[in-house]
Amino acid sequence: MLRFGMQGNRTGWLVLAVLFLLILLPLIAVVIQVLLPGVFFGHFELGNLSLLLDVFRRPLWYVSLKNSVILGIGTTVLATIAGTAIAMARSNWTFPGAKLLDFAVWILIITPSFILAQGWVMFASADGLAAQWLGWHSLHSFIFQPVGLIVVMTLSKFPLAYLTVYSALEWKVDRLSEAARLSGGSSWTVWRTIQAPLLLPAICSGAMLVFMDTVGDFGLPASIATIFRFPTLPYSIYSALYTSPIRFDMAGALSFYLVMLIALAMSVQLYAMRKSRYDFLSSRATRSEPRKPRKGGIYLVIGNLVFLAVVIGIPFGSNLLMSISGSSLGKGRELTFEHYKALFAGNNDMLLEGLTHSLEIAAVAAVIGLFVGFLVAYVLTYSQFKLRKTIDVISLVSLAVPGIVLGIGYIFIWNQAWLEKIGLLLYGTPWILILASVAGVIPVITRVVVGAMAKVPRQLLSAAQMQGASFSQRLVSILMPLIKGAMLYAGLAAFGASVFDLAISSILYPPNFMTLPVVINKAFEDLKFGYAAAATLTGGGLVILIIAVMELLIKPSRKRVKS
Amino acid sequence: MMNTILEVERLSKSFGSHTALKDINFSVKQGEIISVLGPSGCGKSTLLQLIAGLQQPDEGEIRLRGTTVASVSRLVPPEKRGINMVFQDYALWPHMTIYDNMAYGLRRKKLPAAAIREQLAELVALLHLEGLEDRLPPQLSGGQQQRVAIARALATKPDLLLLDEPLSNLDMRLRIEMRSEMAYLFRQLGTTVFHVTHDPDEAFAMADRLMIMRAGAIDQIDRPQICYDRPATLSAAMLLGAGNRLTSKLVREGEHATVRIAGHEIVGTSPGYSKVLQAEAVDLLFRPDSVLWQSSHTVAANQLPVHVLHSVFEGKRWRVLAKTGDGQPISFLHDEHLDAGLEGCLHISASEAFVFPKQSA
Repeated sequence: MLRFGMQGNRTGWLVLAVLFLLILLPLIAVVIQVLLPGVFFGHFELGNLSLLLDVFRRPLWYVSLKNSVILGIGTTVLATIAGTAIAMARSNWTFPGAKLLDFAVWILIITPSFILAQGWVMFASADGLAAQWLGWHSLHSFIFQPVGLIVVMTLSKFPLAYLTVYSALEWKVDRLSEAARLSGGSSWTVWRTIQAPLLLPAICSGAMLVFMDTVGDFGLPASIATIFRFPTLPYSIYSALYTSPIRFDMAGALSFYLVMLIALAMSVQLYAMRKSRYDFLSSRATRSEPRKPRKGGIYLVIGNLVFLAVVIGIPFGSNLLMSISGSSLGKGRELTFEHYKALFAGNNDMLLEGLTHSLEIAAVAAVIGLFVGFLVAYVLTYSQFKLRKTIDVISLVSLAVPGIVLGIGYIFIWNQAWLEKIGLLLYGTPWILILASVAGVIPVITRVVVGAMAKVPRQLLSAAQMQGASFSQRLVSILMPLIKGAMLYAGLAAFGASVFDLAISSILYPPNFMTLPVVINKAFEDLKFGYAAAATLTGGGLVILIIAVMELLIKPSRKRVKS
Repeated sequence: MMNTILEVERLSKSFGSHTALKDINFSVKQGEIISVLGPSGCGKSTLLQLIAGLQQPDEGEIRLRGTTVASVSRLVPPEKRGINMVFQDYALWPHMTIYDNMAYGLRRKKLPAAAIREQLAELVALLHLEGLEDRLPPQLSGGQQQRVAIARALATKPDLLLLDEPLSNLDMRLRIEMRSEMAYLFRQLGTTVFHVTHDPDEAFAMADRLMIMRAGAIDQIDRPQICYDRPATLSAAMLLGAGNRLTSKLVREGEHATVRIAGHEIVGTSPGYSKVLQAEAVDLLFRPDSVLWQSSHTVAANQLPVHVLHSVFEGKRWRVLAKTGDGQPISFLHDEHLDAGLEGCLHISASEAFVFPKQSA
């Protein structure tokens, strides 16, 4: 029986309602739109499901689906292999520059994919930096074909597989391997039969994350569309909305396919892992300590540096170099600040306007997202709310849903005529951007805060309750002070991610209301590479500065932790 | 006459298909210390959580000072019950000083700072916490943390103090020291205590009354000495140290039942089972220290011939492992080492040998 009145239940219902409104309802709307195409636009008609079969009749749809699948599978295989191998090397060996690898991984994860992709385009296009500065004219033909794009995508997405596998390698139970050695297994057999199978769940999780992030990625196809035609589902959804005539039904059908692709991947993983029980960590687990390699250490150092030069150096270096390269013909190799000057030139306030809007939206979204994410994490960690599992699933689903699909769902929900009468027609207003951004940041914030709450035993709250503390007093005086560090990082990460969310911005930005990622992407589409790069670095720099200042101001004091 | 503080009636609680508690009934008087003793999974922690208000019952009700605080339709939250608790891991808030930890409940009651200082000064002195007030919990030893947890719980002057295995995180020396200290302190203050533990020695040291639980039900509730001398069930007897359990044949029923083991008749006590010992096969239980080794067989009654297998030195005495004529294992305590292969007899005291119907527990 579900009982109202208990605090955990009240919060549980509130959280469920918010998650339903922000995440589940837009997703349901995408499905409903396929079944009842007119329902959100005032007329009721049963859907002609033949629209779904059009994917096999319309060449663009078919190519988009095919490209998404090829890019998804190729990147998943390559990035999982690369991420796993690098994680194992990093966990086994210590070598100079290893910390740089950790740093690079995080940089790649937090950098929006369109910025990375723009860097690669600037580097590898026919008259790009590789051709101009290094004379590598054939690079263009290697990168701008399916295999090349898979490689570029792999170099951006491998951190997802790396981090999952590396975290699983953080603790090891030597006894398990020792028992296998004592039973006659060689070190290779022990790795193959004991260590690798125990690592399998992490590898599979990493692979799924890579797949979901790749097929839902809007940044790469949007950026390379400038010079190479490689439509994927997210990009075709965007095209359906932003090429005349606007086809919401087509966008809905393509979104449906995208959701199905991700659902299929999740089902495959759940099926593959259905009988696994891998709770092998016991009190005998010890933290893995990487050791110095007995030989060949220098190769590790060199390999690492070359790898970092490619994965970080190319995308970021290209942006930097392009932002200070002359734009007029023949001035390609001349260094200049003209693009930075152009950003703030008197007759061009688009960037400033976009930047201001993006910062405002991200700040509001981070604050609301932090509030909602905190409550979601509280219900998941401490409450006995019976629909807790449902909340967990919704928050996980939101992690998997591409921003572009969420955006379409928001249009269906918040663009209905009847909402105008009650003043809630949010489509075409900045509020829809805020709501969608909140939905986008909730999963990230929830995961970070759940991790922090897991370290605060329930008894600490029960003890406060025994002392007479009310629900809000318990949260304010016990829980928040103990997890304020995680809350700060979650809020700042959400803020940073929202500022550069190209997918949601591109789909939902109101007329005459530019945002930073849209300004950058439009400049890039107009082949103003220098301007786009300067805008990226200026915006990114400003966001990093804001985050650093906020961290300095609010950072939890460590002076009292002496023991 | 003492007032009743806590009344529990027909209390039941399930988690899915697992029944944690079924039809629990008891009451606690003011100033009384009740120790709940039982093995892991017997439902004692669930009972504690229900009394604390951290869970809601499926059936029955809980009354504090005559007011219903928990039933199927009513749940007074923990903060409004006027009770407090010492947690197994103390649950001290790591970001607050010892003083702030102790003052927390009084601040919730909006007491003036001066009154809080005055009340805490008494507790600090009582629990020997002088000089520790400004430290953080991780900077204290286990015993000090435990005393802080008690002080924090006592600060709000609760009607009922709940103790959830409060000594289980301490080493043995400190545990023995603290249980005597706690028993003295609570009696000195007249605190009503509901104490949960799985350690019989701790329960004996603390309790006015012992409540022995098994599989979600109460086996026995009585004064500690009565529970020890006349355990009501087979599992209560085992929990209170009667580790020898011999399968026997019932010869005569009655309060002093007679059983036969390997051809020898032993008279035992059958607490509460005089009328239900009908099956032929019964269990005879006794403690390792309730028997006397005799190297030769005499005509005296209650003698059981055994064959010595091994002796283990336990510091003060030897624990001897042996087997009966029909091969059943026995352990007993003796002042000297006995060589393996030695034959002899054990004299079993009739009042300390318990006969129960055979069961799987």
